[in-house]
Amino acid sequence: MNDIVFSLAGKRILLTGATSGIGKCTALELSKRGANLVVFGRDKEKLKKVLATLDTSYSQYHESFLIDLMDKDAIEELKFGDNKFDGAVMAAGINKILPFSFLSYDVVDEIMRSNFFGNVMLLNNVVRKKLLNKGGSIIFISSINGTTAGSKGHTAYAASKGAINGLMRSLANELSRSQIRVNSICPGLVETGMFQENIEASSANEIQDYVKRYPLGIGKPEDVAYSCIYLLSDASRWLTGQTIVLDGGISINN
Amino acid sequence: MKSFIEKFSELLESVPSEAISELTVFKNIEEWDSLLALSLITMVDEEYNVKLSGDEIRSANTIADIYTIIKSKQ
Repeated sequence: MNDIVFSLAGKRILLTGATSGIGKCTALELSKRGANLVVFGRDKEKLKKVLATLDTSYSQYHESFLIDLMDKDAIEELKFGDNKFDGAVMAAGINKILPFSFLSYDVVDEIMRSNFFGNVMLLNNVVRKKLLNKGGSIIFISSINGTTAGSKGHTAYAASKGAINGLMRSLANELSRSQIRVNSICPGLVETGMFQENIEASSANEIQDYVKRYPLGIGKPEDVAYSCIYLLSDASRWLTGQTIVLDGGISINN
Repeated sequence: MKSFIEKFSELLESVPSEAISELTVFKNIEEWDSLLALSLITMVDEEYNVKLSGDEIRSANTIADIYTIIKSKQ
């Protein structure tokens, strides 16, 4: 296997949700493979720290944009400059674990704006300005709750992730004429801050029982990052419009 | 305590509120499950501004036990 096929050297990649969890880890791993990163986050200090940790062994130039993806006008007015992107990882997202009967319009609105509208409209701005190079690759970080899983207390979160998957397929078809690929990664339980929230909402025993249902155990942020490397590299040039279920096998264990 | 018992009863589907008292061992209620535990956590957060953990619920037996935990965290 030719390693160059899997390389990200020279590629310029946009990434949202860069200051925590899967996004943060992915930014670092992509930089180690030579990508020039343009990271987006809403916390100035955290964003600064992430930018400082990114690898520059390939003499890359990394940039950051401070933006709250909940802010519709800020996304609309965002100026990216003229440099084009070779890929995008839309990893920004939040969750609020609530039984359906406790949902409010505001909670659904907040989750949809963070997980769906923010990522989608930012990408829309990029595509509209024709800032994606031919052969580019777009990745949405979705969830198994957007495909076949239905974790209790995750109704709004699942809706936002399902919406992403639907949009992804249609967009993949639209952008195929520019040889731009669009896919989503649907992780199962990954050890992040969001995982901590799941633990707090359950008892330690319940979590242990749930974790046991994962044939390969639960995931690490790196597991998602490595799939992003493949999807952003030329190794996946024939892959588009797919929801890639990355779940340590839990979907075959039901 | 009375108001807490009422709010707890409202979370239940099939048990009449008269059947619930401070001495009720809530885990023995037939419909008790992880979703009800989650509902209890959410209700307590909204009404009392206290974050119960799953393990605290697990360590409690009666409704009075839960109420004591809420009071101790206020």
